[in-house]
This record gives sequence, C-alpha cells and structure tokens, in this order.
Amino acid sequence: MPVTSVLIAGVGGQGVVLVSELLALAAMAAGEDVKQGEFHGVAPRGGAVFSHVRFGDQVHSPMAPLATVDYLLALEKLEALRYAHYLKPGGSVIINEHTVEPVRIADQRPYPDDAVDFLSGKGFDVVAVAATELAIELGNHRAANVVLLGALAEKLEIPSEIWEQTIDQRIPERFLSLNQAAFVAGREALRSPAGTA
Amino acid sequence: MGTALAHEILQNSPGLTACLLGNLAIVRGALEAGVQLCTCYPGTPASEVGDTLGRIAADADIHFEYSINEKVAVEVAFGACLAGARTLSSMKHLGVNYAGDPLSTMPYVGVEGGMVIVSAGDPSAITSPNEQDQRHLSPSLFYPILDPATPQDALDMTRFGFELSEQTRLPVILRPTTRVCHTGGMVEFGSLPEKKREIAFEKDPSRYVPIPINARRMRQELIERYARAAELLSRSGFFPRTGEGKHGIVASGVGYAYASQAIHDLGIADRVSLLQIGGYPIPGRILDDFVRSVESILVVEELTPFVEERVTLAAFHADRRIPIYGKRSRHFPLAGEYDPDLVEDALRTYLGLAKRERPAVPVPDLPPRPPVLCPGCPHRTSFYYVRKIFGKQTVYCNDIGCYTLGYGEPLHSCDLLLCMGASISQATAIARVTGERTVAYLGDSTFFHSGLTPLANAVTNGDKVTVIVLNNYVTAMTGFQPSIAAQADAPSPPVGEGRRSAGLSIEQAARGLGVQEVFSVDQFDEESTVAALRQVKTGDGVNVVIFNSACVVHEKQLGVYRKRRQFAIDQEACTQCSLCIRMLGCPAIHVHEERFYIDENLCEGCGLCVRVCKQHAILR
Repeated sequence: MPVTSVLIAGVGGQGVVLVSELLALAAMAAGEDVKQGEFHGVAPRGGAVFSHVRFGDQVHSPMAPLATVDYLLALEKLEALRYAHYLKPGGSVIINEHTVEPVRIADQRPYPDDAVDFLSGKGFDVVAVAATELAIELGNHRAANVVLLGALAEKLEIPSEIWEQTIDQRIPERFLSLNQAAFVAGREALRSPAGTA
Repeated sequence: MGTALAHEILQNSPGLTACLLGNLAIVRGALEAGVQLCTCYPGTPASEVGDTLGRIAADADIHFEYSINEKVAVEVAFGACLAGARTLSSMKHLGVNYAGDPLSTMPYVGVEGGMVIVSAGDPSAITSPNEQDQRHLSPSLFYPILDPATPQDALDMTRFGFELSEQTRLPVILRPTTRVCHTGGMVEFGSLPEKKREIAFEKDPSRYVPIPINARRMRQELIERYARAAELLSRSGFFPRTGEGKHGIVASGVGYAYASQAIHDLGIADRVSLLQIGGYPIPGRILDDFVRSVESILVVEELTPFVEERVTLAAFHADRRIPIYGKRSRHFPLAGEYDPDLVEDALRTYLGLAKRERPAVPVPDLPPRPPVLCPGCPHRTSFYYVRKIFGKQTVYCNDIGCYTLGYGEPLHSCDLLLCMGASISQATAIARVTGERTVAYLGDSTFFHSGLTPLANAVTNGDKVTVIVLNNYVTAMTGFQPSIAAQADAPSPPVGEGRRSAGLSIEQAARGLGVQEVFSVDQFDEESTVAALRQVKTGDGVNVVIFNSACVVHEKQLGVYRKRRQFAIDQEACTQCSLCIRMLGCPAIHVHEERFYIDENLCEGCGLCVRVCKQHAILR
C-alpha cells in the first residue's frame, strides 16, 4: 500500500497526541509500517499542536512534505487553515465545528470565520463535524478528538475490529465507554448528511 | 506509544514489534542492556526518557532519581558505574554544559560498568535558548557519540552504547534530536538480560584519581581508547550503505530519514549511494571507501557542518578531488532544523532535477497562538503584584521555566534571560553597576538546580537584589516532574522512586546562605503579598520572597484541584476598556463582537482580573 499521510491539528489540551497514537496503533495492527511525528513545543501552554501520522508499505520520514497530505483532521477550525498548505490537491479535510479563541494580549488579527468555505473554495473535500457538541452530548467535551477519529475511520480502509481493539487497549478503563461512544458518533456523523457541510 | 503503554516496554518478548516514541525506545534499549541505575534532570525533548524510567524503576529493579541538576545526575551515574553498574543519565542538550566539569574528566578516569548519557538535541531551538551541536564533544572530550535517525536506531544504539562503553572504558553519549525523540515508529524488541552486572567497588586510586601524574598517563591511554571506539563503531552496523550510484549522499540523524524518503519518492535509488552516519568518531575506513566510490557527495546533517568537514578531510586524505556539497555550498541552511521539503529540494538541485511545483494554497493571515500562562496560574498573580510594587523601571531578570512566559506583552516581567540559575547572577550584576535594586525570578526546581551558588555570591557581595522564588511544588514546564522543593503537605505525584517524601525548604536554604530578610507567602493573599514586597523593595542587600501556590494544571492531574470561584463580566458595567486583557493576558478572558466575556470552562477563579478592573465589572 502506498503511503497515506494524515495531519492532525489542534490546540494544546485537545488531545491531538492521543488521536495520533490511536491512528498509528490501528495502522500498525492493520499490518502497515508507521511513522508518527509530534510537534508540540511548549503547546501545553495554549499553543498550536500538530502531528503527522504516515503509514504504508514502508515509511521513512515521520513528516510529510508540503502539498502531499491525504487527510487533514482539524480539532479546531482555525488550525485547519494553519496547515492547509500541507494538503495535496483535492485532499480531504475533516473539521471540528468548534472555535478556541487565541489568547488576546493586544490588538491582533481577527479570528477567521470562514474556514470551511475557504477550504472548499480551494478544491478540498471538506466535511464539518460538530464533534465538540457531540462529545458534550456524550458527557465530556474532551472526547471530541475521538469523535473526529471516528469520522476519519469512515474514510480509511482499516477494519472496524482493529479500531475497536485499539481503543480498548489504549484508552484507560474509566474513559473507555465514553470514547467508544465518541468513535461511533463520529462514524455516524460522517455517514449521515445532516452532520456534514 | 505514550505513557499509558509504559508497561509494554517491560515485556520480555524478543521479536515483538511495537510502536514506540523515540524516547521510549531509548528506555527499552537501556532495559535490554540491563541498566541498573538511572539519573535525570528533565528537559525537553528528552523528558519522557526520565519520566518513563521513573515510572517503571521499581518493576525493572532500577535505582532511579530525578537529580538536583545535570552535573549531579552525571556524577551519580558515573560513580555507580565505577562500582560496576550499568548506568544511564538523561538530559537535554544544554544539560551537558551544566555537567561540563565532570564530563570533561570522566573519559580520562574511564568506566567499569557501561555508562550512556542521553543528551537530546534541539535544532531550531524549539524549546531552548540555543541549538548547540553536541557532536563537537566527541573530538574535544573523547566521547563516542551515537546519532539515531529513527526509534529503532534509538533502541539499538542505546543497547549497543553500553557495550561500546565497557569495551572502550569511555562513557558514551546518545544524541537524539527532537524529531527522533518525538517520532513514533515501529521497533523490534530484543531480549531482556537474565542477570545484571555484579556490583563491587574495588579500590585502585591510581586508576580512579586523576591527579596530574595520573591524568597525564590517562591522556595517553585515551588516544588508544578513542581509536578503539572508531574501530568498534565500524563494525556496529550503524553506517549502512545503500545503492551503487555515483552521486554520494552522506546523512546523519533525522536527515537520513528525510533523505531516504526523498530518494524513494523521486525514484533515484539507482543514481545514488546513501551512507548513514550513525556515530562519532566516524570510522576512517568507512569514509575512505565511500569517497573513493562516488563522483560527488551531498552531506545531509542538521546544525553545524560537522560531518561535512570530516568528509572533506577524508576526500583530501584519499586524494579525491570530488565536489562536496552541503552547508558550505548552501544546498542546506547553516542554522535551524531540516524538513522533508528542504531535503528533497536539495536532492533535486544536487541531481539536476526540475524544481518541484507546489500547488499554492495561500495561508490566510491567521492570529498566532503564542504560549501563555494558563488560566489561574499563580505566576501571573506574582508578576502582577511585583510589577505593581516595583514599577516599570526595575530590571526583571528571569530564568528557565514556565515563568519565562512573563516575557513581553502583557506581563513585562522578563528583561533578561540566559540559562538555568542566571537570573540571580544577572540581577546581581545589574544592581552592582547601576546601583538600583533589581529583581530575579526563578522557580523552585531552578532554585535548587543552580540558584544556590549565585544567591550565596550575591549575599557575600551585599548586592541590592530581590530574589522572587516562584514555588509551585513541581517542575511544570517539562511535564510536572517532582521538585526537590516539594513540601510534605504539598501535592505529591506518584512518579517513581525519585520522589522525596519531605522536600527541602527554600526558606531555610536562603536563611542558611545568610539572607536576613526572607518572606514566605501565598501570593493570592493580597495583604501579606503587598506587605512583603513593600518591605523588600526598601530593604538592604539581598532579600528573598517565596511565593507558594500549587500549579493548577498539576493539581488537576492529581485530582486534588478545587475551583475556588467562578467569575463573570457584568455587561452593563463593562466599558470595554480592555484593561484586563492588556494587563493579564488570561486565556479565560475573550472578546466577541467587541464584548468581553469570561469563559466559565477556562476560568479557575484566581480573581486577579477582579483586582485589575477599575469598573468593578467582574463579579462572582
């Protein structure tokens, strides 16, 4: 299988790294070679975080070159725009309909409110998912990351059993049912037209 | 791959393939080598090495400590290896500077049990004040250095490092960079040892005491031992060559991974010969063979042209006048980390291939997300009151930790920064030459790491310095490692054996060093905070204020956090003066359509904004 590249972007605390790990572990369980690069710097203090997950027959680089990423998974709208230049032409974007305002310390550029339109206008295949809302309905806004992973899983060819096993193995017991439900909700959001933009 | 799977690396299952971060692969390599004692001082990007070792130390029967600083970490690990133990000491690149004194003599004395020092590099200075290239320690201090490109390399090289160390009696440095430490990849496990090395210290002062008469002999022996390291490296398998093409490519670290990827993606495997440099000193024969077999060479390495210079020398000695490209030829930049695009573009130039056309997706002009202090962070409150009492003109000397975020807008609490512990020395210097009282900020972990000696120095000289110790009971910036200053009644994380049951008192330490005026207060108590600051501002000589409040994020992790209160902005009273934002930079306060709001999910109820608001518009 040729290399598939996924870029996962968000804000510190949203769980970019956990989603990357789940994806990398699932791809490995599906028999692929995997490399995953985490880019967080001092992100726990409110910065942008992103991660590359690449899998296929043989992967050397943990990071994809510009304009080659197949899927961009954005846990926050603004962060989808920040990394759009990594997408290949016509690449897929799954975007959380959720805003985390950057900290205002002085006058600064306004938050762009047209992320979905902007990316669609560039010819990308954009799907917006209300992942944070779905996660809140399930009881914890922090599960939005796994809702989005469920949506991504709908587009990948990794079998369901592998996803289920990976989540079972990696998620701690007390958060397991929440995350299982979040994953299913993400899958369903992508299947039903109501959840898409 | 992350911390939750730490137990996985304890399995004795040779041949098992797992997906591990580079830092965890290093830990696995150390376990396979039968490591017996580990020390560390946390520092990004190496922090997960120590944290993981701490977590598994008891199960793996390893002595583990979070050391007070890197110098002590290296000395403890070195001492233990002289008693026969295999030891590992982990730190970031800058840690080797602090440990420079012992490091420079350790190769002379030599090891008994193998010793590996993990010193993680940070090209582009992503989480550091500089991007120093530690590889220069190899020729200058006689260290064999291993340079992994992948998590598998990190595992194999760590394990091999202990053998290399014992066979040369040299301590060995493993130098992964951020992109290796924080890359997850497939690694194949080897077996865990059935038994570890015997521990016994046998006295032999002529061997262990480098007084000049012995040191001169040791220096002579080093020539042979360092040459032996090159010989062992040549048979290590860490210098693989692929391809028979006339275009040579010599690559090290993650540059090797990027070069391998570009060669594959460009379909040029038949035109190139790729040589990985997995360590230093680079075995002479390997470079000699390579320069004789190709018509030109492109060197792919981050930081300084270290390999490039050695390749150039090898060509000279082989009498091969071939073009050698790299940093000198500007195929690569002289500073900063590489990425796959940079390497692919350089390979295209080198091979005369067309430049890559990239479809242009203009990145809109986006608001940045600079790192900021968290909502409810006690440092913000400390900075606020200190600036209120000491004013704009005072010089604020800051240090290494979360509180470095006092830099710039809006807190203006970092006029100088250099390295661990330098806040006090720099404050001393500015006060002495200007005659004005200065302020030094440093945290509890940094205070014990390297704040004691400059404090003693300032006391001795009677400098007009106010030292503010921001004690949050934890080393927060690098991942909440236990601080040596943790108090018996403070939150205590269940992290490894390195935890001390009762921490050291900053107040007693300051008094013990001769500071007469020491205040220990809770900065959320306005009255005592302001009173203490007023007094030290007009005091004589060195004085110390210790602000004690736990890190909010850490308390949440421990499950002991209780939100104090919840604030909201009264829209009737708010005049949108924006003073709260301009003074505090709190992530919980945001603006929507020219109105100011407090995000109830983010607000931790510290109440600082209430004190700042002149309209009394912020209410509980």
